[in-house]
Amino acid sequence: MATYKALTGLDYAGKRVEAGDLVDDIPNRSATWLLDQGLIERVESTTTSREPKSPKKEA
Amino acid sequence: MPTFRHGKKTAVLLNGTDMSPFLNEATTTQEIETAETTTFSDDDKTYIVGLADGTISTSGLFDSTAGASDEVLNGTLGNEDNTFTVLPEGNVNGRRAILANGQLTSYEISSPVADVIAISAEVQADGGLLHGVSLAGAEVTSSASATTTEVDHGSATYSGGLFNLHVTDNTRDGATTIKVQHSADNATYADLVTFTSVSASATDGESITSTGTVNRYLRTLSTLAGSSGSVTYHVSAARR
Repeated sequence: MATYKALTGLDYAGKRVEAGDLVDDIPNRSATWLLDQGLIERVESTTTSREPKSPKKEA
Repeated sequence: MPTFRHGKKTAVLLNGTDMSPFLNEATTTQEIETAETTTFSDDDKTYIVGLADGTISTSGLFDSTAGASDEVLNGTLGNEDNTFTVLPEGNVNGRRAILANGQLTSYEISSPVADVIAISAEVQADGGLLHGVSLAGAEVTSSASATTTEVDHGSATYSGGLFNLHVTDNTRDGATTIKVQHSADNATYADLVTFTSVSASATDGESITSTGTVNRYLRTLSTLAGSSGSVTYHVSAARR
């Protein structure tokens, strides 16, 4: 499910979120126009990657 | 089938005071200048539209008690940024509201020997006299945070708008925040304008303009701090 950051106060499904809150339950039909009007922005999921360990150098 | 309405339900709000108990006539006038574009070879004069303007004229009865017509109108003379709302169809959600932010340009008291003392006042709109709708129907007395019934404009508009708030009665023991919210789907509402927080027990009026998109559905959201008392307010919205 997509995660969004509210850029203004929102009310939906009986709940209130303020600007800056992260939400993942905005109705799909609402997310479209909220994104179009810049009222929410999608938050990309962050993935952590590990650098391969470099081989130990011989002393 | 035409729908006519009687003028007896007309309401006039000024800076958070319901002036209706003192007034018996309200006239709003919208004007648009025209610039002549007639040239040689034209048979008829031609024009293009120019700047819009608006005024409000009211008249009624003199009352010198605290908070009544004389104190309010006399106290408004000379002040900038006054909030005026006329509700010709009465104070009903979704019905016509005429909004202005402007200056009171005259206040007249007439004392005839054989009649009641009368008053009249003229308002010059500063930035336009706009036709909109009432968002908070019969003035809402809220004892807890609440929204008003949505008003459906049928489609979005894209040039902003003017929004008037009048807090006409306030016994709340905490601050009140009132917002106008808009929605494209009547499911999720986003804050559109937030009026300045109204202090405990204070009454006030404020006009705010917005730019850009105003979605199809509009409503108000009131959030009350404190624990007791109520707030009576009215919000109207006019799209540009």
